[in-house]
Amino acid sequence: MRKKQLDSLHHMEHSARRGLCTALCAAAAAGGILASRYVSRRAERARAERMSQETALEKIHESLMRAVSHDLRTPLSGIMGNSLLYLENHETLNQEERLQLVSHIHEDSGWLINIVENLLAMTRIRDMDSTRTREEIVEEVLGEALQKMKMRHPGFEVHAAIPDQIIMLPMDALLIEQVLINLLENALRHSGSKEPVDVIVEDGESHVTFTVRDYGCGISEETLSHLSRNAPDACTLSGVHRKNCIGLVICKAIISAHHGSFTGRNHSHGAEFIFTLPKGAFEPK
Amino acid sequence: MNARIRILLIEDNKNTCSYISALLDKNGYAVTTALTGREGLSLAASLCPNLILLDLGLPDMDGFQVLEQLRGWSHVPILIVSACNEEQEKVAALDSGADDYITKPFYPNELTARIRAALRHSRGSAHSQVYKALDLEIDFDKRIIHLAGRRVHLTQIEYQLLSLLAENAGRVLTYNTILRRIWGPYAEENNQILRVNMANIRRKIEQNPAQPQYVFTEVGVGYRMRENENG
Repeated sequence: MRKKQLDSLHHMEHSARRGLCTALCAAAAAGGILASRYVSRRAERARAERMSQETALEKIHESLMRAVSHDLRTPLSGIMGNSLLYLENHETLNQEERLQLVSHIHEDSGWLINIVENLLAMTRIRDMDSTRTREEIVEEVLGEALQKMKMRHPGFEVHAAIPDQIIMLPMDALLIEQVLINLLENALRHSGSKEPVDVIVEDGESHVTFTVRDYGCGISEETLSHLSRNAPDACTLSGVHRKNCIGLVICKAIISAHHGSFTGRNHSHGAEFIFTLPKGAFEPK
Repeated sequence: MNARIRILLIEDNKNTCSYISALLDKNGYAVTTALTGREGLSLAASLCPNLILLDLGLPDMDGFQVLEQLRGWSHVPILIVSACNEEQEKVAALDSGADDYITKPFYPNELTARIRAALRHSRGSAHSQVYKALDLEIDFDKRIIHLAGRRVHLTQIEYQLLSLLAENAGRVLTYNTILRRIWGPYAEENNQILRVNMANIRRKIEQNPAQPQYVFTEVGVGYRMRENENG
């Protein structure tokens, strides 16, 4: 139902844009007299595009808020249930059973921390402005994200490759760190492989490209097609895919707020996610 | 005679109090807890603890006020324990005299490492002659740095930066603190020159600048050097 509404909304946006384009072409063909009108139409089109980007971001926000709030209940009920089980039965449980209960509580709390951090990231995207975006040294942001991952998952191996020269980019560092952490967590949880994950940074003329590549079982088509949408709705996904997807959708929202691009795909030996961040002065959306 | 190091914990959440107390007790510290800012201030005066753990979100008064009042008469190391992860708050607390900052939720060994570093620094024993961690050695007297036995050549500024961080190993130093200590009180507010110097140091001492082993970045706050094994 919701999906249908969304699709029809998309359709309306598209046709509105197409209509504008036709009008533009006509105006251009009419020649010099209409030049001034052309300019104003162009401004209008830019405005319309910005608006549609904004509504897309707004929609992602809404669906994520719903999905994330809903997903808080799962680890919470695990923590509540397991701890209650322990409290009521600690005398009859054997050592192994007790350890298992506590380790489940620990696992669920880790998941909870992850969700809460993503929730905070989302409110941060909303408040993103020029005071929060600074020129950051890319290796420092990547380094801190890797350090946090190492703390959380001591055995998890990552190989990072960055260019020799120092790269500075305007960004909200906490948000970009969240993107890297989500992608690494995704590789850790869903690749089904213990092979080290590669993080590669490449410097381009107008933007910097980040690749997070794992060597596991790849990403499902359902997740991929979901991510490729303009405003992916995390709520419409089912079970495992959804849990997997929320972090990725947040990545997309963060990168899109930075005017970058975000794509996921399968390579011959696993999955990779690629995002770009533009160089130059930052204009918040 | 109780020779244990005394720690005062000012934190209003009883569960957090019991967790931190148990953790610190296990590590050999004597812990006293205060559930409000006022209680904390009076216990700080009567107990004369060796270190204070201060939560910024207290029920009766602003944590920053507690910090300010403590700093009015005491040099005791103060470690902030806060649920807030915003850089501005960290920088504000550190620049108002806190010795370090740790964000909830934290790992037990993170907290004990910060406590060790703060205590070591307050004892003044931080000024050992040599800094050593993994393959890195800094001889403060001779101003010589070795990495895996090979001499590393730093510029004057780079050496000053690295040795300042090494003298404070284990503690975070804010951009402002570093700028003032190296470039003097009239240093520019802009920390770009500092960060570029740090990036150059990384290229000389770290195997991979994106996965540093010696100098860690706290983005938006400052830098923290790996604990000194000689401490």
